Amino acid sequence: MAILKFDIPSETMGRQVTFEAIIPAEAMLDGEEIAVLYLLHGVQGGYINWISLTNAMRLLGQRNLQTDVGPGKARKRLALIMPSGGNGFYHPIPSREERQENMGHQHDYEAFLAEELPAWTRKMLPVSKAREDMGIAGLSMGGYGALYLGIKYGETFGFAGGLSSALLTQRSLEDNFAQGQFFRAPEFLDLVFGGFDDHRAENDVFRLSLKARARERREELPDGTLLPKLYLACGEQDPLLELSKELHTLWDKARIPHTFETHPGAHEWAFWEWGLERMLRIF
Amino acid sequence: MSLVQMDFASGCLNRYTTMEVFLPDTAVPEKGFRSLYLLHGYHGNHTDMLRRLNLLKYAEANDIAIFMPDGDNAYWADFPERAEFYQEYVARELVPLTRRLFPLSEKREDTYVAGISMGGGGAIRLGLMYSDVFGKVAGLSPYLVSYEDFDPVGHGTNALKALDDVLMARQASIFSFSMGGLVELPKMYLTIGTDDALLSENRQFHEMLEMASLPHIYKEYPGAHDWDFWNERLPELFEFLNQPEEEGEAWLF
Repeated sequence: MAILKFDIPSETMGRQVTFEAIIPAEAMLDGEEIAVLYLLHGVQGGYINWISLTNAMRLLGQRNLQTDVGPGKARKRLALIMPSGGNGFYHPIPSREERQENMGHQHDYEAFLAEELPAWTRKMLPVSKAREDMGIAGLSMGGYGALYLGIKYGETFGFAGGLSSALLTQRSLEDNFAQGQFFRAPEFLDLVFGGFDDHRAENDVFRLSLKARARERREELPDGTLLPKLYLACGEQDPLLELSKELHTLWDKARIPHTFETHPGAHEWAFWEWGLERMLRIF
Repeated sequence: MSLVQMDFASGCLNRYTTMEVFLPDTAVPEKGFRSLYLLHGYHGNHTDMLRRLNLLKYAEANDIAIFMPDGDNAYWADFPERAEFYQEYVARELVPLTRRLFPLSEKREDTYVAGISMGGGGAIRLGLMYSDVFGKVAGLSPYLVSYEDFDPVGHGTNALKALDDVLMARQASIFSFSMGGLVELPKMYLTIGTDDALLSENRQFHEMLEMASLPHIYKEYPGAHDWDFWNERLPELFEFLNQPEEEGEAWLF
């Protein structure tokens, strides 16, 4: 398996961006298409986290050796692509309405991850055009990012997975800020979320999933037409467990198909490695 | 511009190896990007061309993807006793691998090999030995072993001998009337500094090509065996790579 470090120009980020990929390049056959899972990191992280802090390469190798994976089989061989998202919860920063012309340091993580990066990877790598062959997953902040992007852009992503997802509500935002956990400057919180009182409703995982489900019902679409295959997991000792349980309960009530799992572990890499293995099986 | 550093397992080298890749930012042509396999010199590695050449300035204007593999100090030759086959690696492993992974043209006339010094000698030899793969070959100050020395390290490092083999094959094919033996040679561009210690071997190779009536571009310029000289040759190198295929040109031997 090959490890690739990419350095590409991004229009939506307004700068060169770096990301890493694990691709089963050596085993590929002529004309073979692969599936892709984007993996998002957490707060204070970077693209290097998944590759350096988990057994991602070995787990991917095991997944690609499963009997139903490969050319002509039910599932395509899979590549992992790991971008960087700063500390911005994968939102446009500042919001698109607040953006000013010619102001530096403006990053549209949302457009980069949901539009530009999938398009670029399909242009430059032999990535399948099918929705079910493109997934997005992440841990903590990245779990939130993967769920909100995966649901909001359900026509692009066939799978969305959140591990220990930082499913921020106004209450949890206030708690985190009070504890000084994520944000060292109140201005940055405003930039990312538009402040305490105006948590960007359009990116709220609870509301987004209900909205998509309501549309599926209204238009009598089969399950999963708008919503991707959903995976949610959290460590049993993780303080964020309650938020994942809340979402799980809501999804059950709304009859949104999903997998919810808990496993011994805190907000830590041992749990996320377990979660990665689970997601590689399910995706 | 897009750069990629790629670490992967090579069957021909029997180990993991590294490569730098330049990908154009232009739209992908319908047939795919053209590709250039660019080989470094002795004492160097896969990062040489990015660190020491102004390569990207010229690469940016073209639809050519550039692959810069790592070749150790191995003359881009085959070493059976070490289970390391650098020639086969570039021509038979790297070319198909990169075509499967990136949107590249599969056409011979869109596939080039070039190099500097040891890499230049390697590129010329690869172009002659794998003329089915490469449509164009360029050697900047190529390390070409003199005909008298023939094959000093004994691993087929001698570009002159490779040329000799091609000419012998050509003779054989003429006598046997075997159309299958006909070899279409790549277009060749050679350049060398007049202060370069490799000058006489390059002149000898040029004369051999002339004697065999093999069309090629051969340019001598004032200069030595250094990065200044190679930087100055870049515009001409890309001019050569961008020359369109000419109709009915006598490149078939």
